[in-house]
Amino acid sequence: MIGKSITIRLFILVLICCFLQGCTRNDVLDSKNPVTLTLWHNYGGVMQSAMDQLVDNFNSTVGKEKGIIVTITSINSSSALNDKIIAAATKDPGAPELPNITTCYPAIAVHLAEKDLLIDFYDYFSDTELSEYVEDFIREGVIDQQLRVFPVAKSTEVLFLNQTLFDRFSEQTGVSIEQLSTFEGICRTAKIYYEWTDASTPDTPGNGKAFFAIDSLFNFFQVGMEQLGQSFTQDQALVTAGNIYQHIHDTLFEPAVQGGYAIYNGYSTDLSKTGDIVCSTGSTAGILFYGDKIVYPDNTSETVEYSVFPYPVFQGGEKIAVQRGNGMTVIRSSEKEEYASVEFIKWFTRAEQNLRFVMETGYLPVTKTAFDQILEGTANHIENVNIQKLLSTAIKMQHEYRFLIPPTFNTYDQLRREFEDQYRTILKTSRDLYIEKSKSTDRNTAFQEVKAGQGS
Amino acid sequence: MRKTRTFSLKKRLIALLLLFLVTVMLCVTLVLYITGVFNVGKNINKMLFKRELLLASRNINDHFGKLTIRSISMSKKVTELLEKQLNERHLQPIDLQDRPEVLHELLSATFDPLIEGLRSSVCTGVFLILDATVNPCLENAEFSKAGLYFKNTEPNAVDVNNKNIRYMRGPAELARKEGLTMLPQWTMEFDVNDADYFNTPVQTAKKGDLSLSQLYYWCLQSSVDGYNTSMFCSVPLIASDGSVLGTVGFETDQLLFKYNYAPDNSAQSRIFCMLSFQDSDHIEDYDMGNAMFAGNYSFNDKIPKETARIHHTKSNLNRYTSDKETVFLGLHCPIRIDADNPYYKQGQWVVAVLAPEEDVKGFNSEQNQRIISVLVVLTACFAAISFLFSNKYYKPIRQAVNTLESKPNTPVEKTGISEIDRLVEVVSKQNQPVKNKKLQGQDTPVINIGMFETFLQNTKTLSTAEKAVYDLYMKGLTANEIADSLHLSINTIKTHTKRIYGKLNVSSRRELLLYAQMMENYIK
Repeated sequence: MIGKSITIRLFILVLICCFLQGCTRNDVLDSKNPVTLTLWHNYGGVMQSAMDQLVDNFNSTVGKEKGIIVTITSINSSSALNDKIIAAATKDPGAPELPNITTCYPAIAVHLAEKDLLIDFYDYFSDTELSEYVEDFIREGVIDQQLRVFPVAKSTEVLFLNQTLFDRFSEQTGVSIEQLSTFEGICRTAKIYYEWTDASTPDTPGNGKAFFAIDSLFNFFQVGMEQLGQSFTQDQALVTAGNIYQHIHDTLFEPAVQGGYAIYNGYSTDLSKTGDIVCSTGSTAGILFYGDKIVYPDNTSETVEYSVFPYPVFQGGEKIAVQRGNGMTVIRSSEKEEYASVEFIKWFTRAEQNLRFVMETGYLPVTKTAFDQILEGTANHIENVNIQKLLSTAIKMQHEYRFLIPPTFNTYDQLRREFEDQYRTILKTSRDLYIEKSKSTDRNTAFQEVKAGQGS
Repeated sequence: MRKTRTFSLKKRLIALLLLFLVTVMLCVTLVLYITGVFNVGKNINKMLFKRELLLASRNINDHFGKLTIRSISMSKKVTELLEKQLNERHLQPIDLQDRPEVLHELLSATFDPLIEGLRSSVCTGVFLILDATVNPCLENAEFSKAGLYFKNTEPNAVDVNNKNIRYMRGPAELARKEGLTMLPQWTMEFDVNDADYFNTPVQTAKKGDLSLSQLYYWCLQSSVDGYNTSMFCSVPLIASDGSVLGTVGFETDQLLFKYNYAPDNSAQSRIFCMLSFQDSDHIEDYDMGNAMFAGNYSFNDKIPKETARIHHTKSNLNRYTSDKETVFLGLHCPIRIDADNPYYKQGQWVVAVLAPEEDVKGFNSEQNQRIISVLVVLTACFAAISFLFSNKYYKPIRQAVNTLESKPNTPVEKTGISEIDRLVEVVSKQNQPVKNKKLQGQDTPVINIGMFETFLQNTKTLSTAEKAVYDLYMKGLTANEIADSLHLSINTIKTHTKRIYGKLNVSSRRELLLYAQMMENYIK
């Protein structure tokens, strides 16, 4: 009787243990009934193939084992994707449904977080797991103390230089590459370059070429002010007054109006392809857009070499660069889909996959292990020479620079767009006015009149 | 004496039931085999491949058919536009190659219809290639052609806007004017050295004897960006004076093909779809080296990039074998997208749905394994049931025999089996002693073998003194004679006698003498 009683109790205990075991998240997934996840991302062009292969690799290995299938249903540029996400989140007419996973900037994720559409990654990652990632990258994705955007591919801004064109220019003018380490130096160099190119066509005065272009005017001001000790944003508004702002404005306004800087509402890589600029500041993620030749309007072409330098610093300023790049967010859905989405992201950001993605795209790694491997020389095995150069510079900046994490209040993105549109309009208008005035007066006078007219 | 092998009733019973079971299972297996149940995996596979092939071929046919119609329509529109632009400049179509300075303006004029064509078609790119170059003085200028190429990064989107469109070929100032982002692979003009999508339709159009509906041309070639394989549909631009201005058309790249035509891989994880051109002289070959692929990318690298030989089978899937001994199983069928043009390569486009042979066979085995597993489990269950039943029927027989042996006079419990109960009854009767039958008119006990055996056992319980008396009784002495012999009183002998009778379960001297007689016979 006693033996029977013990047996029954043991049996009940085993049943309870089995039940509790069944309550773990691992049992949410079932390899025989896989869950299908939808993914949107902005890794287009050459990166698209790398992303596709990684996703397929996941589906045929870990995904197959755990019962997860990831399907890419949209690939688009960052700005188009941002619009699509917002439209889907606000359920605009004709907008698609939000996917399970999407790449997203924190500034966009804020809108989704407000509607409680995103999971909190802190619920899915242990402290040990999170410690494998670069802390700043994790911090960037935190919104209201919840980790909403998980880092997958980060970037910063650097200086891209057409070394071939610069060497030719430097040889004839004596300008040294050290000039390009500061924005003031770039400003001076741009004027010399404009004059030098203008002089090459003596029959056509005033058709000198631009030396420098800036991909993000907003970042130029945001980072510039931070380098000089002041924040560009205050109380969710922009600081567009004061000596520091004025200095940064002057460094940009004069060469832009006089032709040394290109005023372009697009990526500077477009201008570099035709030799219309010599250098530019832009995201490290743009490296693959720099080819190995430039094509002139008469269809002649020239093989060129690019160099990658750390982001310039204003004189007397601190070495600061912006931390860019988006991450992945997981949209709230069922427990199974959320868990599966996180499993995919964990796999995707593991050092092995992260490095592979980095080596094919030029993005920066997000795990400490991956960074170390690059430092140890994995960078030498990268086939693309430009990516090699880029990663070397990025690693150097990692050690010497402080990285600015943009704020994440919900009007930030709107402020950014408005500032860029308005400032670019001012530059364009001023430039057109300067060209007009230059026909009847000397350039210096023309510029002073334009400057005075802008109330600068 | 030779020992004969005996099989107990229990073993015979089990053997009989097992034999019956095996016979039944063999019959079931035979029936399953004859009715084709073991082919269920093959049949499912064939249905799966047929379904996926039908779906893919129909959709591809439909998709590419629409692109053909749009390409022809766009060719007419663009030709009209170009002629109008040339007329405005007092130029003839035939002057195109001699007036490179107007090329960029002409291209600019075609921007809207090309973008409109791109937006309204499910494709990844639209192109216009003029048979002229901006700089005829350059080296290899004969292969450099001015043109435009726009790429759609979201071909499946309902609403395509400029943010989705990238600029791959054309004058840089046009991209900047229209606010289009240039792709990394941008160059200003097309290199048509190996561009079949330009050379073939243009050269054929120059022969001058075919209409546009016969001149559209589908080809599979490396994509313009160089990273992919693409299907191009191109239609020549034929001006009113008969001169060929160039070509225009749509591109569908590998990625879009994969998104739209990857087969359902829930049953076969490595199933894939291919589109390839089959030369009419090689209808038993399938060119896997130059094909569009829709399947898992991680598997794409494992497909040999060469021609596979097709081996048809009547009842099953076809086999596609390459020189590298990789074997695929699947089905294929032609689709009709090519123009009826005697100058183009003769053959047909073929859609195939394939999977590695080991996967297909593995699936078949898996299905059969389930059936076999069920049969094995059933066999094991039936064997266990056989054992239990045989044990159940044997048990009462065993109990009855045991009872007969150990307790001969004890009534045996009925087994419920009439034959066994009758047998037990007969044996029991034979073992029962006949009561009080008299010898010489007197009562004579009848002793059976069981009683004798018991008697023998009981003799061992006699004490030494009792044994001495018992031995003399066995010799036939009377009680007085035993008393004299052992120098004991008659009363002592009577006491011993009483105890002996009690221990040996006899009731008289006569009975004791009967046992003595039996013992004598036993010893002999």
